[in-house]
Amino acid sequence: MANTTIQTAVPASAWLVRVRSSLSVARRVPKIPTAVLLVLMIFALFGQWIAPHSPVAVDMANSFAPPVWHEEGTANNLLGTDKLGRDILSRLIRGARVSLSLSLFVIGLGGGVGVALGLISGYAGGKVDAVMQRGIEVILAMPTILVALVFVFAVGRSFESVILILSPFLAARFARIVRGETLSVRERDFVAIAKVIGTPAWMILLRHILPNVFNTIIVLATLEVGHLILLESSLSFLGVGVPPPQPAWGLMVADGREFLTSAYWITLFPGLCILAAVLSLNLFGDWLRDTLDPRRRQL
Amino acid sequence: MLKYIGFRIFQALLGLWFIATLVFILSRSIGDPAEVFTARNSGVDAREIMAAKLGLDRPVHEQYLKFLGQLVRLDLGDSVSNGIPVTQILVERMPATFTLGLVALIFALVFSLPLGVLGAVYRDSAIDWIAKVLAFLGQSMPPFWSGIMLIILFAVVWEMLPPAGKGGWTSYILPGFTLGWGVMAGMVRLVRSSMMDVLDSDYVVMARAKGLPEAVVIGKHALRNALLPVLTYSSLVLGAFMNGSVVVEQVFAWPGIGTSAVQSVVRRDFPVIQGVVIVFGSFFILINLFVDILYAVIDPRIKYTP
Repeated sequence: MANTTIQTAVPASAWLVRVRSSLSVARRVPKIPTAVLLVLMIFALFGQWIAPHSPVAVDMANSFAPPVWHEEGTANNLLGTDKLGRDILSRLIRGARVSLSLSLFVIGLGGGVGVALGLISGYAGGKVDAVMQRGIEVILAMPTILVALVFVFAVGRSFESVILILSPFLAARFARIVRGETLSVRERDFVAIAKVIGTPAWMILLRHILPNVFNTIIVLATLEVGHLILLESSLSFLGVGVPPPQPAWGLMVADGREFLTSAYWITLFPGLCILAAVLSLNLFGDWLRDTLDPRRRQL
Repeated sequence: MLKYIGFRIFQALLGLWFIATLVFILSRSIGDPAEVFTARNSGVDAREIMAAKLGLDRPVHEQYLKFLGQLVRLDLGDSVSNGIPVTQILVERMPATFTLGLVALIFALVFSLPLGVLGAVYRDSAIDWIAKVLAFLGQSMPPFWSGIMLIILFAVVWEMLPPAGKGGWTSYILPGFTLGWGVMAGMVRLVRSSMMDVLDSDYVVMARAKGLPEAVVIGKHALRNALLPVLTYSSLVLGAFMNGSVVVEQVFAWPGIGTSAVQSVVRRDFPVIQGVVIVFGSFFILINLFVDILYAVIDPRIKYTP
């Protein structure tokens, strides 16, 4: 009886300590980047109810309307309209969804595969490791944007093809870093003990190694979302990203190029959105790395 | 060490072969190759000639060997949009891409060396913050957009620099800076952190203890030793420029390889795309090889376990 009370008492206080420490961590969150990311996430999730107009509704009579602070600007189109009279603000809000969902898909697919490969490669060692590492080096040695250009040329332009071509590159980056971490965790005592008592390899990977490399994965994923948004918008800009009329930010920048002197707002705002998103992700990722994983300042 | 270098060369050849094979598989899987390698509206005759040239009536492994044989002889076929040999197009366009990459590298070094060094020497000072902000911006800005913004400011509003195209030396400034800014971020961080490591080392403490002037300590004892990782990084950065040049050349209408890659995608000119991929891929691999060998030669502490 006494035993059970002690057992429950210890986790309860441990739980309290954990809540307190996570509260103090939460207080040190970088405020502006977190706010920007929250706004973008809200845009991505609830964009269709927030946006004042449809992002694809064409209104030729209202093309090239300037933003509200210009003399001819109206509150109807706060950030102006493009050459087809589509509302820039609504397109930006919808664009958040395109960028974020695409990046998350790539992180899920490429990152997932990369983590699995990295764990196996690092844990197995020997020939398996050598072969995997050579493969990863080949992928990392390929110019991403060019390969993506060719791939989309071959299979056609779609949301899915962008995800498919970016995933292997991401998988390679994840695999390399997770492998490095696995190599060091593999040598720790608890792994040796698990081996001695006959735990199967997959269980060791899932129960003992994965939790120990998890912080690294989270940090890497945050930083890579920013990188992916840049890549995706570059592809959209080159005309091989998400197909129109889906409002991708990179595509919007490209749309405005012809009208730089007469309608700067078409180009300026989508670029600022990309900048704000990527900058926030980088700052947030840096903070996360310093908090969770102070050893990996080089990541 | 010779064994290591030999192994790396073998590995590089393996990478080259892999890229070539990938391109071959792609060229045979996206449709009828005779159609892929001829202009879109060409007649039956043209397609039959191309089929004969590619050896499409032969088994796939013979086609593959033929393709590799042509590659070794640097024969990449002819462009389908204007009939010019792809090798010639690439050789003509290569200097523009390489000079742009070089200018970008110079920009990156010119900015990141002083900023990184001063940031390390005067930690958390104003200059350290400026360096950080510049670095973060460079890392987070899409190059196609920063390029356009620079064009608006320097070419349209202030009319100081040409907006696009390749002309005199002034035409290199905007595209070079745009391309260089992206890698400046990594470089500033690298210079700063390796400078900080060096500044804490015994020989710098010793130099200070000897009473040497601070400028000599920083400039001679510290900087020289902090430069090695920066040099390695610079050569890797040249590879990153290959990637960035596709976008930046497009923004500035720069007559380089990147522009021809994008144009040929638009024109569905497969032979040119194939050539660009092979050239860029090979360049990437050769740079990595060069850096690894250089490292092995410079730093004998590196272990050569493949």
